[in-house]
Amino acid sequence: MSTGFFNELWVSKILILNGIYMCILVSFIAIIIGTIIGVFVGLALTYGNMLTRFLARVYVDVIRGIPVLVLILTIYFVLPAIQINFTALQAGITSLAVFSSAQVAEMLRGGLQNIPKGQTEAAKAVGLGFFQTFVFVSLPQALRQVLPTWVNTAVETVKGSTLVSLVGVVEITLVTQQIIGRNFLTMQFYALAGLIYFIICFSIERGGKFVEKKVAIK
Amino acid sequence: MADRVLEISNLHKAYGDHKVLNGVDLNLDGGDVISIIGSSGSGKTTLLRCVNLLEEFQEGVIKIDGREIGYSNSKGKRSKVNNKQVTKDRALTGMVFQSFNLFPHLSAAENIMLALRKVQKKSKKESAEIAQHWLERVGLPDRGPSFPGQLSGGQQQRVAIARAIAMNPKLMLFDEVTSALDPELINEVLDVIKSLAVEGMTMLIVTHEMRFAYEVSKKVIFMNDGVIAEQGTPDEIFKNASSERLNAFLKNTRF
Repeated sequence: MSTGFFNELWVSKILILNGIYMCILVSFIAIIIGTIIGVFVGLALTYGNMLTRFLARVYVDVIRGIPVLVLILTIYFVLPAIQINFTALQAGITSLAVFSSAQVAEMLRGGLQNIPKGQTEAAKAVGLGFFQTFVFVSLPQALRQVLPTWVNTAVETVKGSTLVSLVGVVEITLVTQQIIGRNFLTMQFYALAGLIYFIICFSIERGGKFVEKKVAIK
Repeated sequence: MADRVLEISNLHKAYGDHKVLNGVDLNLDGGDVISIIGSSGSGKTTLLRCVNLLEEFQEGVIKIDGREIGYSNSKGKRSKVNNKQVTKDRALTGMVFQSFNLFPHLSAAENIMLALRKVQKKSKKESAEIAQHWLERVGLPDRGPSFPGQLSGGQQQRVAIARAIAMNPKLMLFDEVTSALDPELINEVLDVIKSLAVEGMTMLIVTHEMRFAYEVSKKVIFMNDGVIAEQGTPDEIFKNASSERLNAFLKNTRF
């Protein structure tokens, strides 16, 4: 009996769609939370006093020096020791969010510090306060500068989401392994997984490029 | 007697051990145009930046319309005013920079409107009208929608002047505003400043354009080593320079 690839694909369509859903869910929430945390850490890095700058710096450097997989395993297997019990999904999202927050913090700091001093001085000279200068002058310029790197982080987060399969989150990679375990169509389904990841990441990059063009400084 | 707009007395400023201003006294009355000349490092730009409170200074008093700005003195104790007050005091003066410093992500009109809306809390419509008025005034009536990157240096600098003056400051400060411009673009900017002078705007101008300083100023100040070394009418400074230093300086500059 020959079970063709398309037959198998049809049989597993719900599983695969669930996997895609899980991948996007994990990545999306992680990027959003990571960006929010990252913005605050980035602000601390840029405008904080000695203590907050130091703490933010330690956070960013430590996180950036740890592989995402180790973060995931730590949060899932080690944190219960101090009574923090995450489900596999929560642990996955948390670790990816922490990972991306460090990236976002560092890129925001870079973006803000790259803005010429004359910009903030001109803003002050027309009477804008510190907060107004940040919101209307520094941030819009920093965001444009940061956008390509941020898109890159989003893509890295999607790719990093494969790792949450290791604590049992049934996303694309784990679904693929499960399907292959049943039908042994190894090449076909890994190729499919690769294609799906490619489409997701490529769309994010294209979307990013589109927005970049839209908001580009003329 | 004209009202006194700016009163600087005994201004001292140092970066660490390096003294930049060594006791500067200077007064401007309403409608006065005073140019400051001098070689680089003489403290001219620092003096302007102190008036705009972009620099802190260790000693001395700067008053605008008779009120001290940036610092307060009570019972002989000198202290910085809070940031909110610094921002308010700073709004009394308009500053134009050597490097234009337009906001690149905003159009020319939006550059002018930003502070009108966010600082003076004017409506969008009113701000747009004021912006258009000043764009016309600096000879750029149809450049409102253009972004800084689409404008020439001279046009950018004229927008920067419009941005500063639209805030209706008591005093305009010009810091070597033509130094970054191509030679053929200098005059369009100087002409705008001259026309403001004719209209009675009070201005303090740091410049390397000697002919312009000669033509536009009521008084010219020559700064050297952080002090006012010479001051007088343009004729006194440029035609009958007495001191050796001033003569040496003028010899090395274009007129």
